[in-house]
Amino acid sequence: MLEIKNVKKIYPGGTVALKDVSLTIPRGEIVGLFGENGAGKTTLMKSILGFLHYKGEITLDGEPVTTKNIAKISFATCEHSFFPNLTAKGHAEFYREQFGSFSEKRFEGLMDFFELPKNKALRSFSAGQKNQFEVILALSQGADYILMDEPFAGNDVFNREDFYKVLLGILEPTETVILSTHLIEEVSGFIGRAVLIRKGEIVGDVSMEQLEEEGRSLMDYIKETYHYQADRVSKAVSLISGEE
Amino acid sequence: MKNEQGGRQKRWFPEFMKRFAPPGMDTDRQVNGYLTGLFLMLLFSVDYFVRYQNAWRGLFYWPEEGEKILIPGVVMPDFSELLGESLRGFFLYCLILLAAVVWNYLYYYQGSRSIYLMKRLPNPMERHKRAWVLPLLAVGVTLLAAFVVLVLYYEFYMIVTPKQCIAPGQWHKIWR
Repeated sequence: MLEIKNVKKIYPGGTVALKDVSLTIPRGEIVGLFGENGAGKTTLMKSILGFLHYKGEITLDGEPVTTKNIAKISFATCEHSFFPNLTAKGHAEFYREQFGSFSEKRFEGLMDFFELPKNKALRSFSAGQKNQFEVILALSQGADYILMDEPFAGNDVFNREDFYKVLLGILEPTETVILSTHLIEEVSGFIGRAVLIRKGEIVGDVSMEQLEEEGRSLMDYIKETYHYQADRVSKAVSLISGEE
Repeated sequence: MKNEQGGRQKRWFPEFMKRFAPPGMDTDRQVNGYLTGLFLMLLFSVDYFVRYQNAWRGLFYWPEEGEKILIPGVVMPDFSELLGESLRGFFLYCLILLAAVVWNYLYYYQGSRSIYLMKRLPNPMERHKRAWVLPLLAVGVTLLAAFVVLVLYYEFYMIVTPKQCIAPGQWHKIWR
């Protein structure tokens, strides 16, 4: 279980990125993390990974995140965390060396499925292939908690569709996924729970099951929670064009 | 055959050494650059022989005809004096090599943010190992090369200079 208790993060300069965030994510959940740009999604993920100093407490199966248990978390980011000059095969060797639970089978299977070249340096991959490879590494590390920060930015819809299907097919019941994305409607069939973050605060936390029972879509829920003003576009257009 | 950077395999650089470099770094190119630098420092040190030759010529009277004649009571300048700044290049090169450590750390910010991966490795020393080991090894080899050059130049001085012209305690004077 991943437990986040009263986490606060203030960047140098005084920007408050996280305000007293508390969240509990049990094993086996697929959680969508939604919020506008700058809402604190990436900061939250980086805090979980221990990349940032923060106030509060984050524990993984009851233990603070340290080098002893960090291998339980993997991370796929749109910034990419692979080595651009290394081949896919070289990455597999590196992961095998560093992470005892690296899944060769999953890596090979996903590489074959997405038809990615194994002996080419990552820098020569297309943008879509780079994203795919980033996610493949995160899924193959053998981690219990897989954090994904907008991993499909730049991928076409077919690629993304394939990925969701494969993900649902290969994930073990104990594997937890936290997926930060703007592709709300696309992932609504894939996630089990949606967490909304706004200006560093958790403003919504709902299971997809609950939404289904209430007959609401994820998009409606997000709009309601964010107090989305449906007429703001028409107002802006009127203002800019000078029409009544 | 392709290597892990996706380029042509170069066999002479030991594969196991790549474990001490940032993943994907072109170590063959780095070693080539290092050896070129070392060679240039060696060339720079050769100016010792220019100074030596001038000093050595000063030991003799050179008649227009016949053999050179050793000037009685003449003393060869000290080895340390003739060595001058010849080895300084090696030490400056060591500083440049230490700057490679900084380069190795910055490597993880180039083209991606592989620093995120390095920071979450179960072995926290891995990143530091891959930044420091090869530059320190190169510094060690450079210092060793400087010492070998020093010994060779010293031996040359002791062998070529007429015995009676050498002031005592030459080796000790180097370290003063």
